[in-house]
Amino acid sequence: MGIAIHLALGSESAAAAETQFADSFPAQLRKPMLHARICKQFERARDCGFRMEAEFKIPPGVMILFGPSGAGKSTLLRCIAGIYSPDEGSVSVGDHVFYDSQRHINIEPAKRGIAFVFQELALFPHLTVEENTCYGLRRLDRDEREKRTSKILESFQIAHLRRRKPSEISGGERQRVALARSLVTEPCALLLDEPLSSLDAIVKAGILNDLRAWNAERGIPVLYVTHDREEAMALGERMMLLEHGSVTAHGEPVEVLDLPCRESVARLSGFENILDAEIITVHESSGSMTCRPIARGSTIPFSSAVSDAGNNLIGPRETVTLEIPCARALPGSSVRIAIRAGDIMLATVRPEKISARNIIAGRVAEISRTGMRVTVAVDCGGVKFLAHVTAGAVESLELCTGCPVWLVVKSHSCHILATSHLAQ
Amino acid sequence: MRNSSKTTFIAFGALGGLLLAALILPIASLLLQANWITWTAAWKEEGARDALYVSLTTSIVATAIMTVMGVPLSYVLARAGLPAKRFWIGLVFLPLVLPSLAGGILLMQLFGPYGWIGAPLASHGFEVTNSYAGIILAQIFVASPFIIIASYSAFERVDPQLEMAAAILGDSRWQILRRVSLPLAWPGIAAGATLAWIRTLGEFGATLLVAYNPHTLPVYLWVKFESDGLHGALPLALLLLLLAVIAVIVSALLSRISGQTGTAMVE
Repeated sequence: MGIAIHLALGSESAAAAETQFADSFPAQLRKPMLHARICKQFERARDCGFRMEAEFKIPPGVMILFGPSGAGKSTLLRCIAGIYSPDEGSVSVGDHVFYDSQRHINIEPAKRGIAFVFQELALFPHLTVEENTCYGLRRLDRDEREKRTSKILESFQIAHLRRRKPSEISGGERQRVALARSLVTEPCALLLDEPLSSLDAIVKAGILNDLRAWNAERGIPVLYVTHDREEAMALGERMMLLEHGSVTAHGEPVEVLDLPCRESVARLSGFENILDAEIITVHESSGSMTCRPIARGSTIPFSSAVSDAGNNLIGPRETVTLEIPCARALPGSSVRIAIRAGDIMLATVRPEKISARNIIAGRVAEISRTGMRVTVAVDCGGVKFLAHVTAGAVESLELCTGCPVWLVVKSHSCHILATSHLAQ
Repeated sequence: MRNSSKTTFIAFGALGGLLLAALILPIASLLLQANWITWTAAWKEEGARDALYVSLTTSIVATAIMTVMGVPLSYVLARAGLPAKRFWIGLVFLPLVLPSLAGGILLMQLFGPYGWIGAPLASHGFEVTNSYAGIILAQIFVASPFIIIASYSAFERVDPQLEMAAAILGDSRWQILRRVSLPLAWPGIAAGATLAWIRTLGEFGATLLVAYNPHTLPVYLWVKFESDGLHGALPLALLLLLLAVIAVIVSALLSRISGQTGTAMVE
């Protein structure tokens, strides 16, 4: 079955589209917002479908659309561009209504003036860089077309490639061509479907800078889809979180990513440690609560006992407890906690006089390296934690499998994903 | 490992070589036995020249008609989202697997002097059988699958995202076809057209029944074989072989050029 694809393409486009170009949006003056309300039933062949119900307004500037794969990000973009038709809802930029199910308005993609950059870029392989770039300017006269094309090729630093075919340029250059081709038409909004996901960080940063510079003058709404946390942090002033077809959070990227509401997003945004725990006590006065993570797997016996009045120190045959920020939950209810591997410090000597509320003794279970980053798995009484450290730290602490370590975790590094039996 | 793979290649090479010999030997013996002076003289006989003329003109017209109608059909099959697409494609394949003599019988039944279409045409003084129209009809019937299937798969290979991108950049369906799909599918279409052309040149079975006259080259070859035996038929076989070689070369050139003309077709 799949998602019904409806390519709304018309034939009588020439005259109408000319008028659209004539009253091309003076974006600098009006700064229109993109407003979308999309309802669409997903039907999948195997797994059960879900219903997309998303409504949002995007002011001029870059908005990140962040979410796990299968959340409906690409479909949402395609509904805005008019490639797919929603079941109901509305899409408009400023006063221009492109889709309205109640008023039976459904403008075809060709006449929306919304630019779209595909993940695979979709550059025309039989055309040169220059021909690709001016593809959407067919209706302009020759001089104007050449002027605009040259200008955008310059501003995206690809003017020297104008006679080359897409197959003859690098991946980063292709991304620039795809952006230039979309932006040269002076669109009223720009939709980007993970176009930079295949590039390395430096090339990506360069392209993003050029995109920002371009949009600084024009100020159109830009909706940028990504599932890459670092890309999202680097690019966006604002972020929306899309899960199962609904916008579940929005705000600054730091806020959205640091307050993960769902486990899928937590994993996606770099929370390597996700633990289920039982709440033991709630200290409302100090705004914290103590919980006991539920152990999974085998326990490594501890050799040294540690205990201290101030900190949660875990000794032999003692279970691990964590002090976490207070949530609306009662003792006895269960809670799911997410901790970034990067937020856990390791020490080979028990730290003293430290503000961190959780100091947990454990043993190194495994050390694995990916590139410059080392992931240390620590077993603390059956509860396994992952910590990210540098290769230098492994060397100076002389970390090895089986050696005893202390984990240092601040309470506020423990993020609550969900609680059961919410307190009234 | 090395030895066993060597043995495999030797065994496979021997099997394949036998088949290749079966393909090449008849051609080689024809070329070796060719008496170029008397044979080329035989080409200049009136009957042979007429047959060549008939074959060339009808095959070119038939290929043109098949292209003009077959490319749109294949585009519809590839992109229109037709219900029961596989059924339609299977239907297109039918003439390819049907013996061409049987095809000729079917065409006679429909277009013959007493057929559903042939009878009314005959009453207006237009005989489909034994005419250029009959030859072209027979050629189209047997050779169309080549161009339809080749251009269908050429259109299928065009990334739908390119067409979406063109649509978003302001193109109508027709403009997308002209500026994106056709330039990209062109090599496949050209290859299909050349294959179809070779097939029309060699078409014998259906033509024999529908339009014995005027003789096409294959029919004339048959006539000469019947009257003069091998001796009379060999020069014409060589001529047909040469035409086939030319067709293969043209096909190769076309697909090479088409890779470059894609650009010229836009704007």
